[in-house]
Amino acid sequence: MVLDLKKAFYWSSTFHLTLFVFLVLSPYLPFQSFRVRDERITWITLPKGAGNILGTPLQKSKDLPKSTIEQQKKGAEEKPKKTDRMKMSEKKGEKPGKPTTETEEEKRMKEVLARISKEVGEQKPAVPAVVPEAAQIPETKPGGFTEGSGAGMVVPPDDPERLHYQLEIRRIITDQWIPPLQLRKMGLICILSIRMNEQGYVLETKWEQKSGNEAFDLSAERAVRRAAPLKPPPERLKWEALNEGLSIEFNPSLLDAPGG
Amino acid sequence: MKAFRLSLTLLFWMPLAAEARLYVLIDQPSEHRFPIAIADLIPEEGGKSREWSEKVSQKIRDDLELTGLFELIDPSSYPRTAEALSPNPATIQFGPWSLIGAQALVHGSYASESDGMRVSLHLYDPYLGQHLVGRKYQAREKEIPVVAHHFADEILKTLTGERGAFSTKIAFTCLAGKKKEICSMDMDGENQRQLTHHKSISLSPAWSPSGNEIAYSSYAGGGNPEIHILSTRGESRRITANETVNLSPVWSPQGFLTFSSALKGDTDIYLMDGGGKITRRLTESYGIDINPSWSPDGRSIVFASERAGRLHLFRADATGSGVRRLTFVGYHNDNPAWSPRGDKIVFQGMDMGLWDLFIMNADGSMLQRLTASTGNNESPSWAPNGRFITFSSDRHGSTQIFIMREDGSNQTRLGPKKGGATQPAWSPWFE
Repeated sequence: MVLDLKKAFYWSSTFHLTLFVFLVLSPYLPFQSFRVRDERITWITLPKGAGNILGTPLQKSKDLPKSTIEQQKKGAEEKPKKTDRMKMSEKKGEKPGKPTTETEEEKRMKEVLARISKEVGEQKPAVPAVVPEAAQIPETKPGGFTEGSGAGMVVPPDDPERLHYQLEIRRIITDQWIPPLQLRKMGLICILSIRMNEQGYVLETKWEQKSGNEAFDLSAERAVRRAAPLKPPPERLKWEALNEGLSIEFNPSLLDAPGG
Repeated sequence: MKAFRLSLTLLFWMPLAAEARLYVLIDQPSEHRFPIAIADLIPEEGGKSREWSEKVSQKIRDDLELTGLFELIDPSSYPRTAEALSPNPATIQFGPWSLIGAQALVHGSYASESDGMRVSLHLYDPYLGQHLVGRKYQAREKEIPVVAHHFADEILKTLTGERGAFSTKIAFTCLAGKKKEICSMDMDGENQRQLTHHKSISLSPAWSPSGNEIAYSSYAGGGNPEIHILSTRGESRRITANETVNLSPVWSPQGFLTFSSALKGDTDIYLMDGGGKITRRLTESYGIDINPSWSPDGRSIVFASERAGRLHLFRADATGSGVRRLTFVGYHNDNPAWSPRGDKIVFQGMDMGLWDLFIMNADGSMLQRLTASTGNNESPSWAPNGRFITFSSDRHGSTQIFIMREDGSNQTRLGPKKGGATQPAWSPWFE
């Protein structure tokens, strides 16, 4: 009888301990606050274009605006824009080469950004020639031409390699996606899963979700086909990319953002 | 026991394994223009006029270029093989067209007939080998622009869902000797015609919602300017005779004529019914109220008024109540035009001694500039699809009519060469 109790106690302890570990570590259960491991997540706001087009603020004009929308657009296109990093260093009054006291978080953010920039393609920092301006801007509801200053995309870069590969694929496919204009702001969404080979050639496409509009779906499929060959996956992501494939969601939601 | 431990381990790792597929969100389309190839028409049996063939395709190219939406692939890179240019749609090889990057292909053929030409035009998706739209036309040589404009409208409709405005017209005040008359032209500046022959001063043309009539203000008959209406048959009739100043007529979407008049001494805005009877005084304030423009739903008007001192823009309900000020910067803000989409108002404002064009949201927010450093730019009017704005400008000396895209880009001169053209009014679609 004594032996049975010990055994029961042993198995009960083992079961509860395992259950506890499972609940704490499972990312799908709401016990994140009990996590025991040190998880350092750095949140980086990547503006419209995921780092390719960096934001320029809309200046409020006290009188009639002096520059035209076209001049502002051309200025934004011709002159590379100030990067977030530049703004950050300007704010702090940093000088190149001068050692500064950085927090652990800032160092990590710099590392992540440097890695993403290197792989995705760096934009040279400079000040735009014409700052977008408008008069009578409402305090809470910007609109009109506000390139790059729309709602940002928040990406948790807990795996920089995964993130920059996703960004690269996003950039390549975005570049080829020309959906019919009238369908862009209708809230249509389609999801296409693709399988590729090691060279990035698309072997198979399969619809996970159709939008219900053939032209919209065709434009998405065409974008993927035209973007191929995609960038071959890095070694660490090869298994996932080749066996699980990619889920690509076409959802022009950024167009609904202010300035989109 | 082992099985229990294994299942426990699997249960633990399952949620993590579900994350394995790489997820990519494409949340904005490319900023590239839509690449399109527009091949010259291929002669069928009996077709011989090469000039004819090039004219149609060039006209379509010109129309699509105006939109700013399309990248017109250089014709010198087009495939030359017989299969790629087959006049038979069923046997066209699309591979070579895909190779040059065409996401759409305009391809057609023509054949001579006793009373002109028979023209077939088709739009394809070369990548999918899909026929998107096709039309057949029976036309004479002088109708080339009509055919091209019509098919350009079809292309725009098919690829963007937006109705094209290439078959519309622009009415404007033109010079006829030393007098001012009402003229019209196609939206590409071709086919210019004088519509009135009052040998007087006629101003401010405005199209009726159906496009069958044009209202304008004219000094014809001497005395003060009165409101006249011109029918498509060329017949003109005067509808006011109040011996005061009657200006800036405009039609409401419901077809009621609205205009400024000094009937009660001060210039205010009045509404007239179909029978020519004034039914309502929409504004009543100190200072002039002039140049009304209706919202596309007919529920509101925007107009210029001196009630705040200098000329500024105000918005009111269709009954004239609920007036609120829209512009607070600049001075002499005038000639507002409400966009057909209802979201924007374009107007002219005085800046640094010159008239320039500005655009703002219909609630007065986000006021932005469209023209700068190009002389005087005045009297904006929207294309019925809201994609273009026509206006007059004296940037090349004498005043001419221009069009531009809604964001002020691609400002293009339409004419007339002799100048003296002002106050353009873009027609609605002709049903």
